[in-house]
Amino acid sequence: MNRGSRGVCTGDKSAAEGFDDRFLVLAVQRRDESAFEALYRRHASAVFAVTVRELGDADLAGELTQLAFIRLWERAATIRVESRVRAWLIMVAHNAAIDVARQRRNTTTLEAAPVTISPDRADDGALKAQRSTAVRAALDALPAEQRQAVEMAYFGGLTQTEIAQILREPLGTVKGRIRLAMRKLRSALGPFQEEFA
Amino acid sequence: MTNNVHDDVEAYALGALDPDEATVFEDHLHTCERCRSELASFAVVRHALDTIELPPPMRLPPAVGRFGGERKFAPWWRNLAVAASLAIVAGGAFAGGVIRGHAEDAPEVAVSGMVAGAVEDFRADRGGAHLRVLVGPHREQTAIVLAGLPTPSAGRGYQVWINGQSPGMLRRARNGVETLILSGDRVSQAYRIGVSDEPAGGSPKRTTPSIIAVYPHARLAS
Repeated sequence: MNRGSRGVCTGDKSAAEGFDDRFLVLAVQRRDESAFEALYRRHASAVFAVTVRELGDADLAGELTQLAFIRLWERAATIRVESRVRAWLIMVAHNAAIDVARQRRNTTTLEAAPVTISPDRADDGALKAQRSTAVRAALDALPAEQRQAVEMAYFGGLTQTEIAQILREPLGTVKGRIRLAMRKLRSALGPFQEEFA
Repeated sequence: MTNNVHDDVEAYALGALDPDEATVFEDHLHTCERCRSELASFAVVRHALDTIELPPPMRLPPAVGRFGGERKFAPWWRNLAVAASLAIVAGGAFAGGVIRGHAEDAPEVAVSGMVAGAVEDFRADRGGAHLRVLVGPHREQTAIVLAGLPTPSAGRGYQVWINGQSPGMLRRARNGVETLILSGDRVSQAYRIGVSDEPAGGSPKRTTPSIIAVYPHARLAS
């Protein structure tokens, strides 16, 4: 692989931050490291968030997120700049997560990791714990594909068109899942309206 | 965009509409009391989702966070990709050990015999570290090989983890290559094979972040 340069974005991290994704992807195609690092800072958290919700394992999710960015560096030339790079990264991590999860299910050496939601701090009191429990229960009660669509949209910042592309599902199917999921969440969380306001 | 713009209220509330769809829907909101009311009713969902805290932000990659200071590494992601194109570890680093023929290099001899006829061969490269996992002919042995890492500090070693359980510690040869030979095919049922820095005698559970790992069955292409 070619060594990268420090400089299309002037080699200055703060300068790279000012460019939009399409410009940064073009710069990465020219092996600009500062552009790559700017994309990492901008999108790693979203890729990680979707992946950790999918796998329930922060270590695995972190590693797959990094691997997705490595693929970005390796395959930047194949990325269409008019596409959103965040969606591309999430798609790579998602595909890897599916395979890892499938393989993990096929083994008996590790228990499935729970979805991680940060515990409430003790001094936040019972109300926050009650809210956290309610949100968790509402999400868990959704069919898996509906929950996935909501989480990809919310945590990954993806549009339903992008979600459909990543999941290789018809757009209408994804729209339906989001519509149903949101209505179910509204019903489940309605009693907590004042607490969440 | 859906044929009926009223149907977009849930996606809009979630922020999942494409920009042009969102613009159309916002224009529609000005004239549709029903959709305004519906949209307001979904505020509870947004507020509820906002309360979910994900695990802490991703740690810095090991090359940046762990080995910084005295030893200078190239960017972690570049090292990964560079090494992937070089076909290193077994072909290069091993050869030295075999040629020298030190007694403590014996595992490398075994590995060198597996390279040509390996039926499985997975590699990962991260922050200057290079991991290669080979399954030999007839799937009788699995070799786990690590190169490019500094000598572990006193009382420490590199421990292998397969699906969260450890088959043992890597053994360091004079050329700096670390090797662990296992009987049988340990890859076919593995979703993850990784290495971490642990007490020299081994740890029952991983206590430090993974340094490097391979995911034998994961697609990493879009």
